[in-house]
Amino acid sequence: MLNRLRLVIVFFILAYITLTVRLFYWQVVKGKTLSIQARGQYEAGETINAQRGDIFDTKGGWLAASGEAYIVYASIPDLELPKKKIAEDLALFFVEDSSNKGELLAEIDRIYSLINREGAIWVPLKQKVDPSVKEKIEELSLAGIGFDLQEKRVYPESSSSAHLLGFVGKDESGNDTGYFGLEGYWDLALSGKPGFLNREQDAQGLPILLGLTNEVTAIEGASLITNIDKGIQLNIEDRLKEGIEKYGAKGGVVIVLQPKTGKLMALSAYPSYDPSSYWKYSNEFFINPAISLSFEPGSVFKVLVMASALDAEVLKPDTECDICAGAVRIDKYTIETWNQVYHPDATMTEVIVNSDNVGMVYVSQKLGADKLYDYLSAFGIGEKSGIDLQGESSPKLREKGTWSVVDLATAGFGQGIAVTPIQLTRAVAAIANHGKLVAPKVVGKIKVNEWEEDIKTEEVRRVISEKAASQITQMMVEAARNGEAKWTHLQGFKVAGKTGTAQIPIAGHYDAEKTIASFIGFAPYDDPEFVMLVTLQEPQTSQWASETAAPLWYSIARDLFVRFGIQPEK
Amino acid sequence: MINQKKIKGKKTFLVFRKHIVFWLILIAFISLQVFIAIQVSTKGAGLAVLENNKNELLAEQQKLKGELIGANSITVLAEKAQEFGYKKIDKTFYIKIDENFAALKK
Repeated sequence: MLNRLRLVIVFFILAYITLTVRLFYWQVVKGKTLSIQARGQYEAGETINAQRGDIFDTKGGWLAASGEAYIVYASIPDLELPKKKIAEDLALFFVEDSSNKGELLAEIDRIYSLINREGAIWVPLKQKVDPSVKEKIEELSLAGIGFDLQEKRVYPESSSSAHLLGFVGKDESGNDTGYFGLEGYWDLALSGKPGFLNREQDAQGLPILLGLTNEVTAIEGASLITNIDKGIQLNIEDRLKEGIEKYGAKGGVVIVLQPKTGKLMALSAYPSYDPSSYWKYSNEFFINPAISLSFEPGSVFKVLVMASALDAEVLKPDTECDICAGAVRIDKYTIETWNQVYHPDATMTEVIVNSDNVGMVYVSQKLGADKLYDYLSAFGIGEKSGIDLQGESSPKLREKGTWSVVDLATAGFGQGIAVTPIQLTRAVAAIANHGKLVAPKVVGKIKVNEWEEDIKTEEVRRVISEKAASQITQMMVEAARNGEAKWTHLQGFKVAGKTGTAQIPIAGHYDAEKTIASFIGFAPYDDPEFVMLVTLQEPQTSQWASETAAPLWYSIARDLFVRFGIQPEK
Repeated sequence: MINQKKIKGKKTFLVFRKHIVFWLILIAFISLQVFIAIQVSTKGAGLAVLENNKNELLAEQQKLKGELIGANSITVLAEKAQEFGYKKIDKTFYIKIDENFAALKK
């Protein structure tokens, strides 16, 4: 009896020890893993996506928006048809060109390898699928193939405004990120902040209200209301394309700015790309030449140098040039006029009208290198314009005190100095704005739900006096009426403008054939509604701006006059 | 003796009553627990239905927004206008205030 009792006691002790060891194993050794597994069964967590903000034009029309798209996924246990058959059916909808057999076979292999992966239960097959494609796939009624709503960036005006808008791509973690233009510059504001929801659920996946719930609500991305006028934007896009074709240019830029406020109303650059299919283009297409590429401006720069000299009162509009009778020799270089025609004793107005290089050497010498440097810096040359677009660059201005006599002379007619198109437009806008420099701004307002905030336009500084601004404006009016581009001038309209044909520097010398043709001007000159720059890269029909960029400028201006209700004088 | 029996009987009855009260309270609590559990689980299902409805409405809203964006596109409008035979303005005529710009033929 006692032995039996002992046996039972030993049995219980052994059982207790076994139980303790087993419990130790489950609770301590495997505790963390099991705890995670258990949480996975009764807890459900999901990220709440923050919708990216929209981008509107000044009148509230969409330029970029968050649209409807779907992620196509396969729930492997629910698949009924053979996996190969499913891959073949779906691949037809996922390739761009289903007649391209190589592409189609590669896509079939990709889908098949995804759904055939060992241990996989839920597999995403294709991201950002259009609703129309989703509907077609649904018609096939493939069991185990489902769709989840996701966000897709939509650009309703397709490739228009691409350089302004930029695009939304993926970062290293696979998250949506804005690149270039507004999408890049305002990415943080547009993106918002995703939230998350973590809560307990029952066996059927229904939420348990009394269970633990952690929720952080998503903060919606801000929307941008820009100063862009869609009508003007689309118009300049069309005109620029026509101009590039007509004059056989390699590319071109058009910028339309409101001089009083710095509001950027339109900006177009060619070559361009389609932001909704950005992956089809190489990197060089994404560079916005209007803000990222510099060029030697040539004669359009003369108005800045002349304005500086007028403000410094080293000369007056009727001051006569006493070196303009012929070519002028500076150090070992001879400087000629563009057409080898010379104008002895030309007034400063005539120097601008005739676009006289020798006359501009006279002006820059009168001003001196240090003063010219100060004025150009004040005009914003050598500094970023502060435009709210990603990718702006600024070529450096040669340091003060290091300018040689040749540098000073050539800077007078826009050679040996580099600017970006936006810098040049901003500087001439200061002349149009009675001497006050403003910062160009694309975005006018930021809006989140009911909250909105205006982006104030800022006046940076006064560059030249009102008097000097008025004098140089009058010279530009004369240049538009009587200069080389007078044949294309719209009679009766109050236009102030200047042409510029710049040679392209290549390996230490200037290419004899290739030029950049520009025309910059504003209208009406006494109360400007717009300042506009047109540049054409290497036009083939003529290398001169007066025969290429100027007529293109006037063809756009003609539409802008109607848009702004600008009437001719007579 | 009789009194002792009476007292004992009285005590047994009191204990019995206490037990009944205890069990009644326990049953009431258990019933309440079951009732609340059922109520809460039903609400969970209700919440899931509401969330599904919300998601469907969001999808519908996104779809309608997509249509609105498409309809708002000037590029699309320009293409349609061209299809209908509209042309871009070639020339703008500016007239003086005192100038006749339209007159009926007599």
